Amino acid sequence: MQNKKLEWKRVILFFILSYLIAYIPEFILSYQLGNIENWTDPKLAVLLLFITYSPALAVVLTRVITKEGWKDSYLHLNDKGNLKYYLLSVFYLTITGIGFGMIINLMTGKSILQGFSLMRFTGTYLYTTALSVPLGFVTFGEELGWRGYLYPKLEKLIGMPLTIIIGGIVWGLWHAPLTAKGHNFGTDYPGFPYTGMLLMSIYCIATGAFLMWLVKKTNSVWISSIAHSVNNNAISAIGFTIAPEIQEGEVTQIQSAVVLMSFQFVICMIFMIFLIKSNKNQNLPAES
Amino acid sequence: MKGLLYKELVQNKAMLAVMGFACVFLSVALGIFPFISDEADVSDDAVFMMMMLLFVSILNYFILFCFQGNFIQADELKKWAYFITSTPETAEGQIRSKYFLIVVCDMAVLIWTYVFEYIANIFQGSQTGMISVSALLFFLHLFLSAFDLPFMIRFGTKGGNMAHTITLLILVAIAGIYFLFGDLSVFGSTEEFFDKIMKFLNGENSDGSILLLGLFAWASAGCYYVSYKLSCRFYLKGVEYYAK
Repeated sequence: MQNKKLEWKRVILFFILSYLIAYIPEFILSYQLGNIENWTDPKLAVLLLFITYSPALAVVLTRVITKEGWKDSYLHLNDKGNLKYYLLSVFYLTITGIGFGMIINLMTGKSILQGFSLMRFTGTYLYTTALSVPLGFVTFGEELGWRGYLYPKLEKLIGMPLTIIIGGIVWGLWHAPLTAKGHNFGTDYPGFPYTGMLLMSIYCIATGAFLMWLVKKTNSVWISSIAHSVNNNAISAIGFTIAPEIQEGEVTQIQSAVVLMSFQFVICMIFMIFLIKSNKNQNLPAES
Repeated sequence: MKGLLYKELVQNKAMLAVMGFACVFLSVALGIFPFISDEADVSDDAVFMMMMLLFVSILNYFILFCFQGNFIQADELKKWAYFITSTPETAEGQIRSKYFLIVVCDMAVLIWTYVFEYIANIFQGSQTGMISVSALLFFLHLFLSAFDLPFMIRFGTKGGNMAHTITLLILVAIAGIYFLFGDLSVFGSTEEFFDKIMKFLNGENSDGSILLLGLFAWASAGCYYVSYKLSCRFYLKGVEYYAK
C-alpha cells in the first residue's frame, strides 16, 4: 500500500516536471515568435533542445528527489539476441510512409503509384532509415521519460490497457503548446487547436503501444528511440517518394497528417493487442 | 560486457578527456571566434558559416579517428589477452567493448556537432542544418574504422598504425595528384561546391546520389559488423605482435 502511494507520488511528480520543463520554453517561444513557422530564430531555437529532453530531465529530477536510484532505468542496449526487434524498430513504421503515399495519391485522383521512381524510393528509404539510427539520440530524451519511466510505472499501478490510453494521452498533450502553434497540423482546420490536440493524443496512444512493445521485448529505451527517430525523420520523406507529383496546396497539412496518423494507428493497433494479450497471459495463474 | 565497458572508460579516461577538450576547443576556435570578432564581416555569408561548421565536423571525426588506436593499444598485454580469453567474456567480449566504445565516441561527436551547431548559430545569426551531413560523416567514420581496426588487432597497433598511415598517405597522394592534374570542373568554384551541399541539405539531389548515400550508410554499418567478426577471429593471432 505504502509502496503504491510512493509510486503514485513519483508518477505525479514526473508528470508535473516533464510538463513544466517543456511548457515554460514553449510559452517563451510562443510569446516571442508566434506560430511555429517563425520558430527559426537561432537565439531561441536552442530552447528546443530543452523541450525535447524535458521528459529525460524530469526522470532524473524525480529519481533524485524521491531517492529512487537507477534501478529499472532501461538504459542497457540489450542488443544480444534482440537483433530482430532492432530491425523491426528501424523498418516497421516505414510501412506508414508507403501507405500514406499511396492513399494521398488516390485522394488527389491520381493512380496509386503515379510518378513513382524505384531508384528514388529505394535511395530515400535507405538514406532516411540509416540516418534515423544515429539521430535516435534526439528522441532519446522523450523515450527515457515516457517508455522508460512513465509507462512501466503506470503499468504496475493501473495495468496495461489503461497505461496505453493514459500514457498516450499524457504524451500527446505534452505536445499541446506546439500543436496550438501549428506543429504537425497547421492552423487552418475546424476546431483548431483542440481537434489537433485530440488527434495527436489518439496518434500517441497507438504509436506509444508499438514503442512500449519494443521496450518490453528488449528492456531497453534505445530501441524505442530509434523507432521514434524513424517516425520523425523517415516516414514523410518515404511517403512523398511514393506520391512525388503532389503539388503544394493539393492536400492540406491537416489532411496529410490525418491520413498518415490514421494509417499508423491501424498498423500500431496490432501491437496494442499484443501488449494487452501478453499482459493478460502474465497475470494468469500457472497451470498445476 | 558492462564490466569491460566500465574498464574501458576508466582506463581511457585521460584519452577521452583530451579528445573531448580538443573537439570543444577546436569547435569554439573555428566555429564561433570568427563570428564574434569586431573586424569580422562574415555574419551574412551563409557559405562561409557552412564551410566552418563542415570543417569543424570533419575535424572532430578526424580527431576521433586518429586517437582511437589508443583504445586498442591500452590492452596490448599478452597476460591480459590470455586472461580475458579464458573468462566467460572471451575474446569476443573484449573486442565487442572496444568496438562499442568507438561507436559511443562516434555518437558523442555527432551529439556534440548537433549541440554545437545550435550554439554556433546563435553567434552566426542563421540556421545551417548540418546534422544530416554530420550523420553521414558518422557513417564514413564507421566505414574507415571497419578497415582500420582489424589491422590493429591482427598486427598490433604498431603494425596497424603503419597500415593506417600508408593508407592515408596513398589517399592523400591520389587526392593531391587529382587536385594538381585532374579535372576539377565537377566541383565548380568554392561557392558552387557549397551551393551543392546547400541543395543536398534542402533535399534537392539526384535519384542516383541519394541511392548511393543510402547504400553507403547501410554498407558502412554492415562493414563495421563484419570488421568486428574478423577482429574476434584475429585477436589471439595478434598477441604475438605485443611487446609485453
